[in-house]
Amino acid sequence: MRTDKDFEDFYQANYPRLVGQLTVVTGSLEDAEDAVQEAFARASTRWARLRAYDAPEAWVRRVALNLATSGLRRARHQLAILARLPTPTAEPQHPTDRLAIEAGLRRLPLRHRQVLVLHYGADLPVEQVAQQLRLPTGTVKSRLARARAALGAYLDDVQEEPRHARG
Amino acid sequence: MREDELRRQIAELVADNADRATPPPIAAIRRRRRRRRARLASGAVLLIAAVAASLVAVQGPLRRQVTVVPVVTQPPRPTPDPRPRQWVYSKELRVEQGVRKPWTHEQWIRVDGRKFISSASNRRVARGSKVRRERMDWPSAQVARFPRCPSRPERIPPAVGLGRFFPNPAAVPTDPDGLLTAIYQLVEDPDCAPIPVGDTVQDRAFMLIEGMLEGVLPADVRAALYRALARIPGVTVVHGVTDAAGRRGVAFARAAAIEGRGSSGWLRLEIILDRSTYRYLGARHVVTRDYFLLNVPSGSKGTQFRKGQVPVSRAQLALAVVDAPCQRPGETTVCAAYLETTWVGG
Repeated sequence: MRTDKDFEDFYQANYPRLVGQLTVVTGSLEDAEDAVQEAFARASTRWARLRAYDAPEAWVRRVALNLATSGLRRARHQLAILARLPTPTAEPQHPTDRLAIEAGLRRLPLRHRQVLVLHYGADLPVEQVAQQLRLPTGTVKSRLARARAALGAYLDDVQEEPRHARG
Repeated sequence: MREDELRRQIAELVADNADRATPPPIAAIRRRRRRRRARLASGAVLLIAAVAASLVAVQGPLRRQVTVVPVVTQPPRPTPDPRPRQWVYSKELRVEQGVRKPWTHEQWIRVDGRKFISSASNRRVARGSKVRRERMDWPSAQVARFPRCPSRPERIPPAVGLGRFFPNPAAVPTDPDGLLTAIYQLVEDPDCAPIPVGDTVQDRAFMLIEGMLEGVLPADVRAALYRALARIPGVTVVHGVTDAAGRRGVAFARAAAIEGRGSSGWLRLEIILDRSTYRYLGARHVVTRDYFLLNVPSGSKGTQFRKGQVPVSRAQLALAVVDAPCQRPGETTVCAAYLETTWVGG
């Protein structure tokens, strides 16, 4: 059936990019995949309608963001316990500056990560970020500014640390 | 860090993560859907319903401001264009506070808008209705309707489509944003707006769209109206709303004035849609806080409204285009007697 083929193409073309974006928001590849898979599952049952939509991937991203966010909220009370345990990780190594950026992003509040990823990672203009997150444009701009400032401050600290250590 | 440097780094991070993601087979995604459905059968039904209703509520309480995100349009269904000499039939059930019995109202308006039937016998005949005819002057009726509007509608509008409200429907965009802008313009001047009440442009736009949804519209316009509704500030989604006929649906809700200026402070209008087909079911006004309204024509000096009361509730029981005046959909008979009014001079 043509519709099935359409959906499969849409799915194959967008899945990796969306997981890439959501991973930066959630800080975990598994969580991102979980949210994106569920969002595509939902999209599959209403594809006949979605395909007529201007940007079906925006719908999937929005649902995935919602799922990831509610998942994060549910998980937040568990974090206090888990934070004390070392997390086993089998993730590949990255260059040092990448690690610093990742660590910096993880320290940002979720609302800041969302705007950074949508604006810089998904390359959406501020207006579209606002539309996706259902926020006023001004709020997105101020969140972007705060997120940049916080990330910048963290990275400066990281770079300056050795100097302080010596001093 | 410079902005372009930050952009590059985040984009690389996204790309790296994307490289690590391999889409599982599509069948697995669909299986997952079925599994999850079973799991969610009880607790999260509301959430699923919200999505299924093509409206994704942003996390947080449902009634938070601007919680409505219409994500899917209605499937565009081919709608045969009604012919000018056909008739738009509608049947409405109203339940009003202070009126003891619910009452139904049937009406027929000719598609070109030039004739309507205002009272009809309930008896049906195969042919040969007894018709009383009268003529009404269009321009003077518009003076009565828009006493302070310098640009009253000169031409009689058709009874279907955007032309029912817009003098130049061909120029009205059918994308949600463009359509909403056009609606805001149409209701900007309260003296000329097709909706006579409402404190703000947004009030009037919300109520006008409710009126538009009651009529015969192309599927794409209807879909755009649903999405336009969600763009009006203050619109929320309310689940489990019941219309005057007892049908449960999902509603777009917003503070809206009906009893003159200022009433949007204590009244809410709910536009009720069928949960699965999104068909327009009806609308109701709900009192949002206790309020004493002075000088309503009720025989006393005022009326006390209590929070939660529903002063007016309407249900659309039928909407159809029929071939003959005073004919009901699916029937070949017509009313035994009726009054037919013809507009002249427009």
